[in-house]
Amino acid sequence: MSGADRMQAFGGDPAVKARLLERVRAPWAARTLVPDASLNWRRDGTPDSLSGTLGETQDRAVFTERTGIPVDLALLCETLLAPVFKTVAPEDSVGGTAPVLSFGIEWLEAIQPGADLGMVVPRFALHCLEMLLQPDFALAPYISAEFRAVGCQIAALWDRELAGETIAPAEWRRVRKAALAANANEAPVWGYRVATLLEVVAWPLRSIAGEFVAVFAAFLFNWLMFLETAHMTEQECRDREHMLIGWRALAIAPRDEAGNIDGDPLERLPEAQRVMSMEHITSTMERMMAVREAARPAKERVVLGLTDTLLGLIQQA
Amino acid sequence: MSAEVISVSDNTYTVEIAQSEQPVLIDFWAPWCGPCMALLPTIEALAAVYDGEIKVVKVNADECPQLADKFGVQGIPHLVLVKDDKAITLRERTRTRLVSEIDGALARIMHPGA
Repeated sequence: MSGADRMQAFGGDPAVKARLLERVRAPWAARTLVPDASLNWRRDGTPDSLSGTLGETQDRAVFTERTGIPVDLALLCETLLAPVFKTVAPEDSVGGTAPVLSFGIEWLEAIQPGADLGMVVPRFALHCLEMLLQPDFALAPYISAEFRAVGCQIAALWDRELAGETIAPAEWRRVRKAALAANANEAPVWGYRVATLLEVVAWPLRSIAGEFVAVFAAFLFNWLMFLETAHMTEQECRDREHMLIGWRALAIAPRDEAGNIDGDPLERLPEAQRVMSMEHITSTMERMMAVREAARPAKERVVLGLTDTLLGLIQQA
Repeated sequence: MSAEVISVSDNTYTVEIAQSEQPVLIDFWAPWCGPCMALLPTIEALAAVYDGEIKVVKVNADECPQLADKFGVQGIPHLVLVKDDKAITLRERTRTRLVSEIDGALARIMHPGA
């Protein structure tokens, strides 16, 4: 079932909601569930995830059938929790000094049995698009004029779609052509994930939920990592950019039939090689942990802002 | 978004793929493969984009080793576009880029001389 198909949360039954939530309350509070972008349930060597435990399944279709919740919404919630979960010490556990972690249960509590949540992820995507097009967005200086124009065109088409208008496929094709011509692979390195997100979502709003979550996860990771640069020296900022250049080179490198990278994409990137070396990573580990800790409040503010938006959309559904 | 992604096995290969009048997009996957699961929404979306033009199927590479061998699958996810005896491996992994790649591949398969 796609996110846009009609469905009823918890089959419309408050007793089903109570029973399913009971499965996750205690293990979530005990931090034995680990948020993940996959449905993890009884996989070898992998801790169960919140959503995997809620539906007691690894299967996307079975999850939706059992819970009446779009699987993409569940995985989006886990995507928002994952970066904070990893950085919050166990003593700051749920209900303590890490309010963002309480979102793990809050979003489930906020669901009205019988609600159709199919448009929550698309509306959240629209919120993100409008946010990243704002001039005060943290990564705004790294979004090229071409991609900004693509983003504005997508937002305009989504608005018309939500107003009930049928958009001609040719209009979408023009936007995608512009996105491909703008070429995310050549975007400023801090803008690469924004450009990729814009390229991926250049489709009708009702059709993007499944792909949005994966590309949003990379975008959020990149955004939170950027917030760390406020606590870095100039040299550390340059090193971070070289690391991103290296990651991007690996991500876009040509691959053979088996998916292995042809050649060494870092061969011509000695600075990327240096900062990605085990020696560099080991020697800077302690300092980077201090940077992450210093940036933690700013990161939590970002995630809290996003979870508040998502909670509002769930409550409105 | 009503187009269906059909599961194909060694047993149903002939009917669903070899004898298909439409080009067939095959997604070789396995349930343990994270990148395969991440790609699934894109494959489902492609089925809707090409509804009526291309048949989109998925093949569990663990359960269908003969099919995986036949199409030279060495790693998953592995996407291949097939028409009659022609097969083109697809390398992109987002809907936007795959549509661009598939449209080019379709032109080569359907109008090889053009």
